[in-house]
Amino acid sequence: MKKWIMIVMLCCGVLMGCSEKTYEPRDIISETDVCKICNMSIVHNAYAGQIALKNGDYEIFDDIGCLMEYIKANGEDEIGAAYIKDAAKNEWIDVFKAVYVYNKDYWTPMNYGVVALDSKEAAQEWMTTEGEGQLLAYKDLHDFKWGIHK
Amino acid sequence: MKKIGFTLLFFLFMSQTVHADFDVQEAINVAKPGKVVHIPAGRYQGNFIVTKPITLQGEEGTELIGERDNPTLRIENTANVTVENITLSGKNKAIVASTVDGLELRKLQIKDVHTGVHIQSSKNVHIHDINVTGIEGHYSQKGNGVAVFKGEDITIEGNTIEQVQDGIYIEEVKHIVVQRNKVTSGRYGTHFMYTSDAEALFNTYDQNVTGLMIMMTTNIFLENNIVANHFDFNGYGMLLYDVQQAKIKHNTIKNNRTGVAMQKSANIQIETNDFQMNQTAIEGTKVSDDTMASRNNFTGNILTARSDKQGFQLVSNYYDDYSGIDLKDNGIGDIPYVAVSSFGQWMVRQPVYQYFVASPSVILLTSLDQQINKIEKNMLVDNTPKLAMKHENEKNKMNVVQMLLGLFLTLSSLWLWKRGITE
Amino acid sequence: MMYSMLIKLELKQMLRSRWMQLVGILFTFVFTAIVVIQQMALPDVDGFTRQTASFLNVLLFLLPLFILTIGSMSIAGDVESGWFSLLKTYPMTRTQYIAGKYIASVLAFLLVVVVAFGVILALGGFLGGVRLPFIFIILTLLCIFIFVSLAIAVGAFAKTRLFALSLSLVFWSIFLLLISYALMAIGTVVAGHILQKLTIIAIHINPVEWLRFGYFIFTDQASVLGPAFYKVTQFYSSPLGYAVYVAVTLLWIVFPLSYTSLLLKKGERR
Repeated sequence: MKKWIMIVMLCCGVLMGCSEKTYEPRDIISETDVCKICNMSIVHNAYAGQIALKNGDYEIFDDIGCLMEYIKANGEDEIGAAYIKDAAKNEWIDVFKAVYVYNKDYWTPMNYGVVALDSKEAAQEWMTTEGEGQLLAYKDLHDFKWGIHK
Repeated sequence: MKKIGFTLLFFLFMSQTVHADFDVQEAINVAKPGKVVHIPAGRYQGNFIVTKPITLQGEEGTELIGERDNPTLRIENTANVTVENITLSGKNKAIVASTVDGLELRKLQIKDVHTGVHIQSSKNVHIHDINVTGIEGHYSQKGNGVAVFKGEDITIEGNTIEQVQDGIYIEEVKHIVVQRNKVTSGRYGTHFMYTSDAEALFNTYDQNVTGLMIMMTTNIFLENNIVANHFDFNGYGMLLYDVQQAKIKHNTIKNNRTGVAMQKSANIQIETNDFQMNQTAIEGTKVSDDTMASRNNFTGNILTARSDKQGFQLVSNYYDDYSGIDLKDNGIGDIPYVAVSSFGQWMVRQPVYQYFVASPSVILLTSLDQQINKIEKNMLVDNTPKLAMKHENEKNKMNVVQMLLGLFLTLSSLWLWKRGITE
Repeated sequence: MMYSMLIKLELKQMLRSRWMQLVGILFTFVFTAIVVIQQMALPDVDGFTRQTASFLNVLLFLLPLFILTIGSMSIAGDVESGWFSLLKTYPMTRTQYIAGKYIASVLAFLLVVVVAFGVILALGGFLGGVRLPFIFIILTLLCIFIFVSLAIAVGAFAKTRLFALSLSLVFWSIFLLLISYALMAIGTVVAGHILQKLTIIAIHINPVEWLRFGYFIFTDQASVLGPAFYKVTQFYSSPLGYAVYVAVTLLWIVFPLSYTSLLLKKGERR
């Protein structure tokens, strides 16, 4: 009997241990992934975000606005890492280090008008092609008024 | 004789293409405002543009084919444009209209496109009797059937749309009516975003991921729609996210994974709908206290309602799994109907639990739940469950072959059984 | 010759038992009632609905219960009454005995099920609008194949009828209820992906879940199980997945029977 309990414990340990060291971003599965907050399926990959929780679960978001809403509701304590797609390169970048540009005319899946980029230079480049916008950092997103702006 | 036939055929064939000499763009350019430009039958390649109030009228066999990734037909900065009786195709968008006041699109066939109709910043738009068929493939690789961005006074009616991402996509529109459309095999049948004063009536949504997706919208009526067979991963009949003031009436919501889901919404009335054979009929999370489902019929749903701790109200609905009786004979059950179940709540919190839906263990648990929760007073409890429901029994035909087969099986196996014992 | 005699004899014993006859009547009655009432009352749609769910659940609740109790008591009774010792004096191998027992039990339960299905078909045909989906017939067969094998192992382990009965009940409740409840309880404290992995393990080590999972796979309704299981159901919906499904099912039949052989061998040596 003890042997069995040991095996079960071991299994659980292995299962939990698997994903605890690093928080790598995972790929989007377009068949099944939907935004945790608004339930929209992820079809515009260039704006998607994700949070790797400390317990190994992933939460997927379709827009930085939804991701921020999740953080606002649940706090940052459980977050192992958070990623957002670089709007220009379509690559995962760290939410906390990304540079954000806001312009109400930028289209995003939730139409919040905020896109993420990996550097100030990339942001400048983005603005030259897509139109002038307001530069934001991660901390500015907390009290950003999400929603459509007239 | 044969030769003449061939020549005739040749001319017939030529006469099809001869109109290709007809220069559509030139005809548009020379037309006076208010005039009708008639485009004869034929296939016209190119990217056309309309910037003045005219009517483009095709006939049977008139087809515009877009070149490269540009829209097939653009309508810009103008008023009172009508496009009718034309087939459009192209790689990217078939019709793009921007800043148009007064636009009518009717009797159009749009096929093999990424996006059917794309309208932005326009007013008084009437789209009716058009057909959009998208390309094959996964919906994440496609565009929308009819998309309206920023507009006012829009009517979209009697259209048939299939195989696109969102059948009808509406963003930032004031006053819109979507009626008698049929959307199948897309991602969302109709997708409202940031819209106010909207109506969706008499539409049919079948086998999309979600029938009606309504987000950040205020004041919407959803009536007499048929929403069926949305049972894929994450499928919903209707999903309301951040919606204020919605009336959902007289709809038939059938065989969906979740019939109606409400999230973060306020003041939603779900009345007199038929919920049939859904895995979950109604789901509510973070909805306001005034959200109410009343006088609906629930038949054959695995789970009638599930919610987070906040719950919503159930009033005077008919439930086919209600076990109470009506001694007072007033048409209302004597004991409350309790829809709350622990499993339903777990499933709301942790999606992985969906695996156990209607599994033997959960069935047992739920029936225990219903005994224990009889004392539940507040959440997901209907104190006046309706008993009778108008019954429209389909006449079942007797299947003689099946009956005889069954009889034969029964009798022969019983005979075998008896023989097995006695011999 | 000897061998078919044994099967006949076993089958006769099975069918003669009052218990088996009672089960036959009960099974037919419950099954027919649920199927006919549910299908008559509700509109006919494809997909996973309450009627298919209740059909599936009646199958998963009743059939394993009957098979485990009757099957295990039959073999335990053989050992207890000394019938097995008597048989050993005949020129017959242990494997032959087990295989004979297995075949006889499968045939007996098939007969019960055929009676029930026959009644459903007949009554359904008479009333109209009642169908018996093909997948349920397949599932019933698999259920009989797997659980007769398990019942024989349980009976051989128990060696007395009473112990066999109680042990079957224990197994039945573990398979049907306790594993699921344990998982659901664990799920309230661990992360979603761990619950998901544990559930996948449970599918493979619990024959009831295995059959239920098979139902969703083979009816192409894997989406009912939820997006968390997308990759697993994708795999099992592929040709390779089907092969694995068959292999695991065979394992569920062969493994308990070999274990029985081992148990009886030990008993011989003693």
